[in-house]
Amino acid sequence: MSGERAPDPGAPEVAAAASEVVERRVRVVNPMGMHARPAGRFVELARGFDARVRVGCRGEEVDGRSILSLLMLEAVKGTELVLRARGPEADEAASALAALVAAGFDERWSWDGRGARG
Amino acid sequence: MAEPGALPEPVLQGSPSAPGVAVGPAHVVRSRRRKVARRHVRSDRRSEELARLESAVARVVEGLDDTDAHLALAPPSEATQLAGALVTSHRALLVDPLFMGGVRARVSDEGLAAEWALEQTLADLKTRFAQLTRPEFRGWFRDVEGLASELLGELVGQSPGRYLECDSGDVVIARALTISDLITLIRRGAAAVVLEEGSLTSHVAVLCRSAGLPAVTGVVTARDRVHEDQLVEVDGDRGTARVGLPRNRATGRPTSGSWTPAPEHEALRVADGTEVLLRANLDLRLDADWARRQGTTGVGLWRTFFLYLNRLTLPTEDELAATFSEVVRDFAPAPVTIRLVDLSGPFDDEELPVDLRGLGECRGVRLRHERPEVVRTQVRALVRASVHGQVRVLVPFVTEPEEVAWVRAELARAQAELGIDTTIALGAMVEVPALLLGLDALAATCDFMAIGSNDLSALLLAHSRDRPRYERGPGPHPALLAAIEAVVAAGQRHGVEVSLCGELASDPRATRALLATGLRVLSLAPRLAPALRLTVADQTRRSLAARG
Repeated sequence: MSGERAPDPGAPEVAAAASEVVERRVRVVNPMGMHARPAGRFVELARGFDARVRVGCRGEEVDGRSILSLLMLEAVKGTELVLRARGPEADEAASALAALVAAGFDERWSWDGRGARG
Repeated sequence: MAEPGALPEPVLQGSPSAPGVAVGPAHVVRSRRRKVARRHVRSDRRSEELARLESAVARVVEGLDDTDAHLALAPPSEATQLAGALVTSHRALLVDPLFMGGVRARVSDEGLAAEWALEQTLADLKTRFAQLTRPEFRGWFRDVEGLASELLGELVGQSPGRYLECDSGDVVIARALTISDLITLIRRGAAAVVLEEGSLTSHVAVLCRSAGLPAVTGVVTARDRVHEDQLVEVDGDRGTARVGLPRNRATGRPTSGSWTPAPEHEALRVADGTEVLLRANLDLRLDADWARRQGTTGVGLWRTFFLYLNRLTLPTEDELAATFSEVVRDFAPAPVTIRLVDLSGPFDDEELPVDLRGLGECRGVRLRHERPEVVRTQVRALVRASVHGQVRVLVPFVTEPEEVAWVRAELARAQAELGIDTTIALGAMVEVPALLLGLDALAATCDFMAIGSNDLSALLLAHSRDRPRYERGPGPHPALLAAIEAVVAAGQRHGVEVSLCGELASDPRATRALLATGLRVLSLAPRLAPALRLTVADQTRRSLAARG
């Protein structure tokens, strides 16, 4: 996970703070990948910030507020995601979302519906 | 449970998707397909059409809010967590630019009626999802379809609640179910589900497994092969649904008339004429009438641990007394067995009140050494609740008979302090194997004993509760059966009731062996009771037939 800030080359420089893009690279670690429940958590969190978030994966980049777009990335375990946030809360958004992905989306239950501790 | 000489009932085969066996009358959910009006909207009426769409969306959101509210009230469990996460996904879908954005654009730009716009957007998404390479992502389109179908229902004024007229104890037969459908069904007490579509990994199957609802999926044409109200036995382990069981096997009644497990259940007897008593296990609050209709009498085990989960502060005596009293009143005059808090099961430390953190390994009554006031508060609340019915107090994770005596002294002290002079039966959980070597001393201190087969089996056979077991085949281990037999015998010597609560109680493969130990009281989830009654009744009939 890198914390460097890079200017977004594709956007006109309006206000420095607003156009600044915060980028985080993070790997999907939970066994089932970014499927519906994790993607739902991601969108819920992303919508809580005053920031636009784009999620890049294998050369594609989609809206981080669209659960369908996130699902269509087919981000299986091990996939590297590039989170790019812009806006007043870009930094907070990028950090929180990267942390969520890195924590395996807080999936406490296992896929087969049995508890981690039986 | 097919045995030689079994009646020729049609058996539908599907894939086993959630384990467990349940019997109940079929509720067949007929097709939800609705005709979509393909009409255009004049440009001056488009904002009106958009408003109609928004209010339909708002009603679907309300449904999700309802579900959330319900989940917030229910004691936390995996099922509620999973359901909560799925609700979050559905909320995200309702604000998705690709989904709702597409529908809105088709209304406002192309002038399609909302229903048609929805249909077209869905068709688009279907094409895009079909191109995905991984089935676990592709399969999520079912959820999208389910939600769209709900939205469509709201648009045409047909809310989902109306077609899901399921009664508690029903076996639901459907083509497919949405997550919200399933949550509704669980809330209404469905006994099992049989689906034409779906698979082991579908969300519906996952939620069924977490909620403990037996499920069989992939039963093509199930809806054509089962009639409404026919008695169906769903075996989620084998992936079968037996249809049209003669009703008298369940109730001893004529085969005509609708099958309703009635409060006046006939006594369930084994071949020697002794009665088998089924009691209810309780985690969530249960509808007491429903539990009775399933053929259970009173509560054999209420795990009060859930009252301590997901809160920062400990529940107060008043709070506990109010909760206990309500349940005790609901079930009166039948007994309600309330187990003192046992810090066991899957939880993370931060889900516990601050005062209980770091005590994860302090099981059962051992908590008296670390937090005596927590146990005392619970004891006082139990004494207060005992004026509303029949309270039985169960002491978990007992190792020494002295621990039971300690609780008895605490009960007596609380009764004296509160000026409440009720009779409260006191019992010990038999789950620590050390007790087996001193059963007479234990039985002498108890009014009843409850075998906790999950822990007893794990500790006795040295397996971990959350890892695969490596001992011999299915069915209870002979050592476990010998242990149960010893407890039952000690109970008989001392005139103390012995019951068993744990997975074994509801496992039809174990029933015969359990009854052979002399055990006559089983505590299980009420929805599993009808199936167990069938198993016991079957065995009794066959034993009697064999004797001539």
